[in-house]
Amino acid sequence: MVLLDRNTVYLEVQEVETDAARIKDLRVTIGGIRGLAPAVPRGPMPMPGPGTLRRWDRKLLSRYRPFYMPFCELCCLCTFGKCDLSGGRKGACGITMNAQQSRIVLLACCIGAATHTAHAREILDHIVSRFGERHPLDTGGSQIDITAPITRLVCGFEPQTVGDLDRALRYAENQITQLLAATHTGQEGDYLDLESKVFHAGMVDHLGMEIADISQVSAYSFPRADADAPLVELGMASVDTKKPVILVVGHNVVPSVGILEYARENDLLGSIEVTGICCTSLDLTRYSEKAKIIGPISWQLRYIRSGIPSVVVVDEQCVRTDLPDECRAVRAPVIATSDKNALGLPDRTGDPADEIVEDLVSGRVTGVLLRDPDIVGEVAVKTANHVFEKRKGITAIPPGESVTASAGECTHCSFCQRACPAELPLVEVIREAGAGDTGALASLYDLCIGCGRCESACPRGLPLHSFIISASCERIRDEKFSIRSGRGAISDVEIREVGGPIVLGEIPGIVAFVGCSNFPRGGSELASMCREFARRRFIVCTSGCAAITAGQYRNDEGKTLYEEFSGKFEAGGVLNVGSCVSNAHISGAAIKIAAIFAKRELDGNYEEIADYVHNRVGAVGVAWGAMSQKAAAIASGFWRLGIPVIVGPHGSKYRRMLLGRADHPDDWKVNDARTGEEVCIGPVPEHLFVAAETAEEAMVLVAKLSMRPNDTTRGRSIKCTHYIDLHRRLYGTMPGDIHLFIRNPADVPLTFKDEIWAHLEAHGWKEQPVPDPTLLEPKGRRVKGGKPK
Amino acid sequence: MTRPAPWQTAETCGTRQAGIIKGPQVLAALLKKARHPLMLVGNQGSRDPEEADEALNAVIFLAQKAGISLVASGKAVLSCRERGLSPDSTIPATDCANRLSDPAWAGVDGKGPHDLVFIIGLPYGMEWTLLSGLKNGAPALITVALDRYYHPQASWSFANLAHHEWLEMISETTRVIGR
Repeated sequence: MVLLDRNTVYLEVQEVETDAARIKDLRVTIGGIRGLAPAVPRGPMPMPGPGTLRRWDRKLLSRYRPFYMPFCELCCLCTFGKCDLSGGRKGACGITMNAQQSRIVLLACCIGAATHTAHAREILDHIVSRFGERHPLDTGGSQIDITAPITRLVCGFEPQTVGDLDRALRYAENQITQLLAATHTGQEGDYLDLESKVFHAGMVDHLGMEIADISQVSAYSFPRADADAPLVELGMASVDTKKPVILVVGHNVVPSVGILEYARENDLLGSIEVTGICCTSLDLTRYSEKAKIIGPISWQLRYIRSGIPSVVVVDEQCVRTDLPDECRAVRAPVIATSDKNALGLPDRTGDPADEIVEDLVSGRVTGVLLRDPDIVGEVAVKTANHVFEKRKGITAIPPGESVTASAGECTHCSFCQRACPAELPLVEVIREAGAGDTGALASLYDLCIGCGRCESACPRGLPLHSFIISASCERIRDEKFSIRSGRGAISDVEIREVGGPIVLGEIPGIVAFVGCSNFPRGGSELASMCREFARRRFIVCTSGCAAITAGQYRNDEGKTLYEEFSGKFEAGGVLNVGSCVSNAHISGAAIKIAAIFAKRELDGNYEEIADYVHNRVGAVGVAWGAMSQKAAAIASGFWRLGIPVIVGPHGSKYRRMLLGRADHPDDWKVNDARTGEEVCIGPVPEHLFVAAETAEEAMVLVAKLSMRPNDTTRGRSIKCTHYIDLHRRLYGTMPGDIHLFIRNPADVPLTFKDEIWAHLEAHGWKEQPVPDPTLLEPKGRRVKGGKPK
Repeated sequence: MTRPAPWQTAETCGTRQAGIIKGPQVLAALLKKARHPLMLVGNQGSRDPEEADEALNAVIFLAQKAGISLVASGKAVLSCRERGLSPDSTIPATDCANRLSDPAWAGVDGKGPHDLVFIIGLPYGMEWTLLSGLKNGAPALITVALDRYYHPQASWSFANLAHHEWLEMISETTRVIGR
């Protein structure tokens, strides 16, 4: 086998016998680095192109058909346009409404995948330059044999060093370019083929995330599959405001590591506070327990306006684009650190650090772009120390009496309320505040997503978000919590322990709360959902802003979720895997269940592993506050593995759902690998992507979407018990579709036996076999020894 | 008459916008013409609990009087049952909209496809997108946004009414169809 790419030649000879010599297992790599493992991609589908997995995607899409909800009915991407695609019209290029919607979804997922992949590129290049390309990958020491499950599944080779990841990353970069090209005018026009490419973008996104996270875990000694990762501080009240405070915002931890390294080297760690918002803060606390997390992305305005941060350092992704303006208002110097997010600031990378500090402290410049993380560290720490005394007392949050006076100027035009994505009753609370009662304003603190659209809409320029913060000062004084630092991967040992109970259905499900903080009714619903499912002995994973939000609420005993539950991948565990890029460990765990527990071939074997995960691993994603294109890409990576994702009501703005039809029995057939026969398995899981209106609806859906065709009767009985119990508690009734999930009498939960039997009889229920389910042809399974599990 | 702006800023749609329900006669006429109407009730009639309560009472009374099949999304089923009405289905709103876009769907009650749907009580943005899905995916279906806010993606919508105006309109419709 000979494999060529742009930089490397791989030659592999399994066995050759000539008159002169006999050669066996000869492998030569020219232009690349490799360790002991073969660098030659293996498996049936290594490094798939955009069309390679089309057959698998079509199987999923024939069951979970797209339901398009055009967010815009026009196409304005070319100079033919605007083209009105409504009412069955076609665009000037011939595109239909469905294709246009899936095209936009693909664009969103390409943006998301590109963002994680570019992030991975920055991290990998930095780590290779700092630690060398032979730096070993280590995500869990002896606890982990499969270090890079997604890389192996997608690319078909096992990386052992950070240098090995470069090849996988180049593949990801190439695929994103291919996918983006497919969205050009006059390219892909079939909506299902576009949807298949959406799945491909998602798969590539998870690959990019994995590369980013295992690189940084390996290089920076983050917690490595550590169920007992330290508890770190969270919340605005955790900050010691007597010290200079640095705020880091974004997702790329490298510049922030530069800050901590500089402070440590200069013995300043004890005299400054390094705080963070969003994923950078999560990753920074994985690097050092001394760093503090302030909150999710919705905390940007409230924290900066509080005046607490002396200096604001931004890297990339999900950073407010008006952040320099906000920083200027509180005279906090801002330091941009990424080429992708230069914010119009002057590039001072080559200048002496002290000169830059002097300019920032004097106010000659309000911000700078520094593209070297080491310089960022020095400039940020020195500047924070210098401006600290000068900035004392500066805040953009008005005092209470000022709020009352300003609120009195409100004309109640309702523009603020009509601009609010969360539909908060701003008109009424401002009216009350104007009359001297700011209690109602304070009640919005938890519900406000901090977007600031209300202020932008106000014709009188009232700082309405600041009013809410001002009215909530008592609440903020108490805002101090604990969150478990991101633990990283799930260990192989944990997978071995829970693989059986998950696949057999005895652990009712893995539920991953991921994504942003665009919550419909505040973060408390998310924390309640996490607690509900942990108490029900699901395995609860969290990541990103959802992980932070989950830590912002206490139980009756004053404990946060991370103090109340174990951090182990076990029934009833609540695991913060880390930042956005750590989401790869959640999909990676599902993949490892197939590879470790069931011994399915992993390398380059996407279709079979996805088929296994879809039919057997009762995992569900919940992106309750999903906002970004990255969240869309993360979801689509789960979809290709056949893992359902539930979003909150705002998620409907992603403009298409992937919904099954429980009332179409023919849609729910699988092949029985034991007999080769086609068997009906009921609508499990019923949907692949669905927006829930309320948290109650989401909880009922989680229980339902955790069911899988492979559930044993005991497992299905447990899952049905949770479904029925939640439905009865939250809706007050027995689920009307329970007959679709009972396959034989042993599936019937004992607790509800009589009621269920009456229901089954009323619906003409018939017993169904429990197959060894697969959507693939039963033959051609590749199992390493033993019976299929 | 110029059309009102969508209640939520910037939620404009394409070239066709909802007709305005100017009086109870419009709703009564739509109901009279419909063969198999459906009402999809969400959980969020209003942020104001008192208004939400009144709104739900009014639309449930309308549904009962007009014999409209009912889907309760979210936890609205609890509110409906408290008012003595068992919804025909409790499927999520997105699932309901998807099925409505299938002309062969047997309907929530198994009596055949629906030709008219009233939607009320969903978060504005969610209702907006679902209505868009139906507008484009179910062109034969008449959609009525029954909230007091203007929803341009519906076939018919109220024009950002005050709660009391809206309540009067629904109550009057119920009276008209009950004659």
